[in-house]
Amino acid sequence: MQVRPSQPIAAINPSVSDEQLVARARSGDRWARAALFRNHAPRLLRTLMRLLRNRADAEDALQDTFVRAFEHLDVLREPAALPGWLTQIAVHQAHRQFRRGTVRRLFGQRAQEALPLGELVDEGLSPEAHADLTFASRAVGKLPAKVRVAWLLRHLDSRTLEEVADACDCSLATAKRRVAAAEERLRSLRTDGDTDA
Amino acid sequence: MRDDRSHLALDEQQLDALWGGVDQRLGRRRRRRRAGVAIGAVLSMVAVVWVVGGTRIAGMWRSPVLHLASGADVPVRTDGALVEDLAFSDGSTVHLAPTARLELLENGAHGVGLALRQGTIDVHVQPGGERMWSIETRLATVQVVGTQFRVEHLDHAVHVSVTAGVVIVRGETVPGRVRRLQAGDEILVEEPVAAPVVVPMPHAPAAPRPAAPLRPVAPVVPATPVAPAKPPVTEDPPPTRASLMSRADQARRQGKIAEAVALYGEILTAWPHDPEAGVVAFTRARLQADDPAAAARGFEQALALGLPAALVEEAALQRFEEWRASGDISAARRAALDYLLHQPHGEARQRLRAWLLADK
Repeated sequence: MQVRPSQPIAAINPSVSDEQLVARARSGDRWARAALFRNHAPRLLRTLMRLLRNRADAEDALQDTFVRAFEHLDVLREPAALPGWLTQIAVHQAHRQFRRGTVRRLFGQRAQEALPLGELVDEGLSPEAHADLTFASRAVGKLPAKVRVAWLLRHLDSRTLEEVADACDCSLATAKRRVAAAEERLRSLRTDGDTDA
Repeated sequence: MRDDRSHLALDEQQLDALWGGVDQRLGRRRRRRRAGVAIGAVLSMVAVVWVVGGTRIAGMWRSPVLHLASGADVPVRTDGALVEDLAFSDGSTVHLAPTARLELLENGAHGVGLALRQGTIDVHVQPGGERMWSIETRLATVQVVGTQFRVEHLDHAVHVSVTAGVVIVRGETVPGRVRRLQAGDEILVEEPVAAPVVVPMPHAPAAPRPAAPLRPVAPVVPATPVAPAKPPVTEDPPPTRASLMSRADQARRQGKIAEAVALYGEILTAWPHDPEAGVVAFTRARLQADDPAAAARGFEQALALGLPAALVEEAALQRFEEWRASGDISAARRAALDYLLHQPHGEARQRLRAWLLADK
């Protein structure tokens, strides 16, 4: 992760919309880019934390997301679609992190410990739900990456199925199928009590 | 203990630090992209310079004109009675029969044009040369890049025979106006009264054929004097300029030189202020090779009437050559001085300057 000494980030004028900021960022306005980052980074970091369950990986993916977004801002046809577009890029970066983790493991590096899912949800979780998440924390890692991401977005990030489909760049039917497959697999693991396998 | 939700929180300092990283990476990528563009531009320029420069350098190395093997200029006129062979700097040779009269029409980086006025020549064009050779006769044009062939002027026909390689023969009376001849083929291009015939030879000879005697391929019709053109004495309406031009051009293509000269003369007399009068005078002058003084006057007239830029230098040079050929050295000197004065980039400047100095 590249971090340089603290530099004052643009203060946001709430009257400036994303559309205006995108237009200015496209013309090379650095302030507008900083303002877009400030507007969307907290939300995307939460999503990435839930997908990657590791702060360092999530921050790397967040920076990669914005670097990629600012470099390809001209392909964004509808500036109002910016939040969804950024989420899509963030999910893509999360998959890259998964692949990097696989390569690291292949070369014998120890995987960083994943945070429990219970620590990655918003407040107000019931004890029953918390118990479910504790179980899922161990089981979800056994799911295929695409299925896992769909389930995490749906249940931890509280996205609608349409939003999941949009973020995963797949059809609604595929998103539904992935979430259902994840739930089925988790149910099966719980029934078998095979959560440590 | 740390609050669970702190994993998801992002305070101002962290936000600044993360933005700093993004900003820095964007700047670095921009610089890298600019450097890439600059390198690409430099490489493109190098490529362009290499291609264009290379072509120009190659063009500079290529001699703009063909010389004789001795290094002398190719003579504008060559008479077979005086010169038996012309050996060129590119290895090509032309053997002239004693009766041959050959004129140089064009000598450039891409082509050599010769006009065979009479007699027979045996030509060997060096294969792989940079110049397209073109032999003009009154009935046909023979084009070739690298081969060995003979062109023979008969009284009412032109005979072309190929010993090696391929030649293209064009002419009004050539079947289909153009014919491709391979080694062993020959063609007799006759005047319009008789159809030309292509006679494949049974065996392609391995060596150049002797200059003479030539196997007769068609009966040679005794020469009939060409009557000068007479003004039409009919009750038809007077001829238009276009009809006269058409007749003159046809006569020229058929080798009826005297008739063509007369018709071009008529056109000049009737339409002296026509915009194309200069070109008509130029064309007529080129046909008057047998009368150098008349040809020289014709080129003078063409220059006075006005010519397209592409023809001016040639007309100025031909005027000098014709005056010199006519023996009027004083007029030739004037023509040479005029050439030097008005053709600052003329190809013949050096030669004319040398002639003037030698003539003093």
